[in-house]
Amino acid sequence: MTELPAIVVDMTSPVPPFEQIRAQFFTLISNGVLHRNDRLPPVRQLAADLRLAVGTTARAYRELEAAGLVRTRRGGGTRVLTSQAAPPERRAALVHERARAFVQQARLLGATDSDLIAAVNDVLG
Amino acid sequence: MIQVNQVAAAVAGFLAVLVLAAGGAVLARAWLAPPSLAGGMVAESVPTPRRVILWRIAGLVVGLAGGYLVSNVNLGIGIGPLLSMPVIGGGVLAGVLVGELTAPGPGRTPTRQAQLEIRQVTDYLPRRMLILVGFISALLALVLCVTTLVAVPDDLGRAGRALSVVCADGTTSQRSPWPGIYYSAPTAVVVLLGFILAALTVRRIARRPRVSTDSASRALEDAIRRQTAFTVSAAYGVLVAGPLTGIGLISGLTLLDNCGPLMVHAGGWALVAIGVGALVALCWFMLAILFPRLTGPPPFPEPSEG
Repeated sequence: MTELPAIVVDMTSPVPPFEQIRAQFFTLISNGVLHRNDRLPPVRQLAADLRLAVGTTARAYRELEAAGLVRTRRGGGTRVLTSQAAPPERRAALVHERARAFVQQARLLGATDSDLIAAVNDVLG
Repeated sequence: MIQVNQVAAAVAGFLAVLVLAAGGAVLARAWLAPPSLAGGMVAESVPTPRRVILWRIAGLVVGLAGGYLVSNVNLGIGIGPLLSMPVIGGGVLAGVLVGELTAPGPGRTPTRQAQLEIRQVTDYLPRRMLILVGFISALLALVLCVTTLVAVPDDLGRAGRALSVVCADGTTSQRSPWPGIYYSAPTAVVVLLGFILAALTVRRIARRPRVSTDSASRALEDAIRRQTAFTVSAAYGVLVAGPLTGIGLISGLTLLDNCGPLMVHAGGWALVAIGVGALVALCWFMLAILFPRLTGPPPFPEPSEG
C-alpha cells in the first residue's frame, strides 16, 4: 500500500522550519499528490507532532494561503484550493532525478548496488 | 483476655486486606502488561504507557476515596450518596487527563516527522458505548426535568424535595425524598462538569502528538488511544448512570408507595425499570474501567489480509 508521505523537518538545516513545511506542501500540491479539497492536518496537531511552536506551522499555512494554494475556514480546517495533477511522465522524470541524486550521494559514501537496494527496501518497510 | 470474636474479626480483617492487595496486584499487573501487536510483535518505538496507566490508577483510587468521603459529608439530605458515583467517574477522568497530558511524546530529535493525517475525536470513541452513554444522559436529563417540574417544597419548606399527589378519595398525600430542584440542581452541575472534563480528555487523546510515524507504531498508538477513549466513555457512563440509578429507584419507589391513581403507579414502575437498567449499566461501566482489556475494543487490530 502506498502511504501519503510524512512531513519532515530537519532542525539542523539552515532553512527555517516553516519554510521546510511550506516547501513540502507546495510540492505535494503542485504535483497532484494532494488534490483539490483535501484537508491538511490541523495546525496544532502538526505543530505537536513536529514538536514545533504553533506559530511556525501557522506561518507555513499562511504562506500557502497567500500563494493561493490552500484556504483556511473557521471550523472547516485548511483545504487545498487547486488541483494540479502532474503528467505521469513529468512525475517519473522527477523521481528519476531524485533517484540519481540519491545514488550519487550514496556512491560518495562507498555504497554498493546491494547496499542501495537494501537501504531503499528498509525505508519502504 | 482476648475474645474469640476479636480473633475472628482480626482474621477476617487480615483476609480482607489480603484479598484487596491481591486484587490490586492482579489489576496493576493486567493494566501494566506491555502492549503488543497481533502476532506477538511489539512496536519498540512506542514506549509502554506505564506513567499514563499509573495516573489512571491514581485517578481511580482518588475517585473511590473521594466518592466515599462525599457520601459521608453532610451536603444536604441524601446529596452526598447521590454525588458519590459522579465523583468516582470524575476521579477516573481526571487521572486519564493528567496521564494523557504527561504521556511521553516524540523526542526533540534533529529530524522530526509528522504524518499527513487528521486525527479526530470520533476516530477513537467507541460508537456503541457512546450511544449507550448518550441515551443514559438524555434519560437522566428527561427524568430530572419531569421530577423537578412536579416537585413541591417538603414539610420544612426545602424547595423541590417532595411530591404531592391527590388521592382517589380527594385527600392530598405528600412523599419525600423526591428528586426535585433540591437534588436535580447539584446533579446537573456535577454532570455538566464531568461532561466538560470528558470532552477535554477525549480531545487530548486525539491531539496528543504521535511518538513515531512508522505504520506498526501508529497502529499500536491508535489502539492505545482507542482503549483510553473507551475508559473515558466508561467513566462518563459512571458519572451519569450513578445518579440515574438513585433518582430512578427513589422516585419510582416513592410513586409506588402512594395513594395516587393507576397512572402514577405506572410511572413508578417505569422509573424503577429505568433505575434498574441504569444500575446494570453502572456495573458494566465499572467493569469497563477496571478491566478495559477484557471489556474494551480489540486491543490491537489483526493485520489485514492481502
